[in-house]
Amino acid sequence: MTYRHTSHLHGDYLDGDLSPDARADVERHLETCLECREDIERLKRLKQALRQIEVPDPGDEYFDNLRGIISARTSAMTVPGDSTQPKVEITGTTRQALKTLIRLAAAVTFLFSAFYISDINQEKQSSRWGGKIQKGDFVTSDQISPEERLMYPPAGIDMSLGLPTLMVEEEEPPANGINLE
Amino acid sequence: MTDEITRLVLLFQKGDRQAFTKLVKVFQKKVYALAFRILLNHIDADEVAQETFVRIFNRIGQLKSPEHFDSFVYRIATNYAIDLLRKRKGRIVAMPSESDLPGPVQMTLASRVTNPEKVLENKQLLAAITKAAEELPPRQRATLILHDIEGLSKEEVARIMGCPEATVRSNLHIARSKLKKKLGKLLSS
Repeated sequence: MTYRHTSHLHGDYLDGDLSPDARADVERHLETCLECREDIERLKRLKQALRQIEVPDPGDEYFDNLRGIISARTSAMTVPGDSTQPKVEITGTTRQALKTLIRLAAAVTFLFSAFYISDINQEKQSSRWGGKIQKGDFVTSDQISPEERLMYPPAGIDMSLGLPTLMVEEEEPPANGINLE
Repeated sequence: MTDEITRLVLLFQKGDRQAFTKLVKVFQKKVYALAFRILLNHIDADEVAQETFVRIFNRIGQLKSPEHFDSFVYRIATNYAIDLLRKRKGRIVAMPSESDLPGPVQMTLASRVTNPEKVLENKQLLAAITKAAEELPPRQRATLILHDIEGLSKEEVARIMGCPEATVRSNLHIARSKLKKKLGKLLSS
């Protein structure tokens, strides 16, 4: 070991928690280092003094009362394996009724969720159009995009073949080449 | 004794309330003393003692190794005392003067130290240690008390504090270094 103070090991040295090699290293160092020897002595004195600190005894009466208080506070509680407590037994009929009840609750939850999601979608659509358009309202073509037109076609138009194109009839030129207008 | 405690724990886990009362009787003084050392006053130590046993009653089902019941007790008591210490941090109780020493710090020196000057010297040292220990952060203080006063091993302290043994080693080293620094000359004489 190079010459280095061993104060970080002094606690474990006094506690007897060092390996034999580390212990031998510390002892070799202590032979030549007065500073570390003094540190060991201070630590020894501290440990001795700590062991001398005692707690005042509050007396047997206090501990009797303490047990009484604890007993009163725990009297209404149940211990995990307490056989004196009534147990709830689940019979075959009760189990069947519980299963039916759970299934019914699941179905109601599913239906409620479906209605709720549909309602949310409708509200979203409404808010996209400024919140003014309700189901069944008249909407002009400039208020909606071509994609939305596909999604919400006017009644009576079959959209299965795609977006209808506007056919514009060309005016026939006058036969005599004279424009009468 | 350990076998008897394990037997009582097993009975208690099966629902025997008498076994719980016996366990309280065995551990109540240890819990009170530990709490007093951490909190340095009777009222808080009493609260820790009550609460520890009520919690033990509630959590006994969680104890998988009945042979480690003592660590289980110390763990609940230490954690509750540390929490209480943190809550009380705002209102530090004035330290007792040397003349008040028989309160929190009582000495068993009389039989060992016969020289009156030495008695006074030790009295001063103990008062200074109590004061210095009070200024340590809660976990360092608890580690020091469990290891150096209660005499538990580092492995046991780690189990109680719910941390690695290296943390116990480090907290202990820091706590002792702080005390050595604060006590200075008192430890050299």
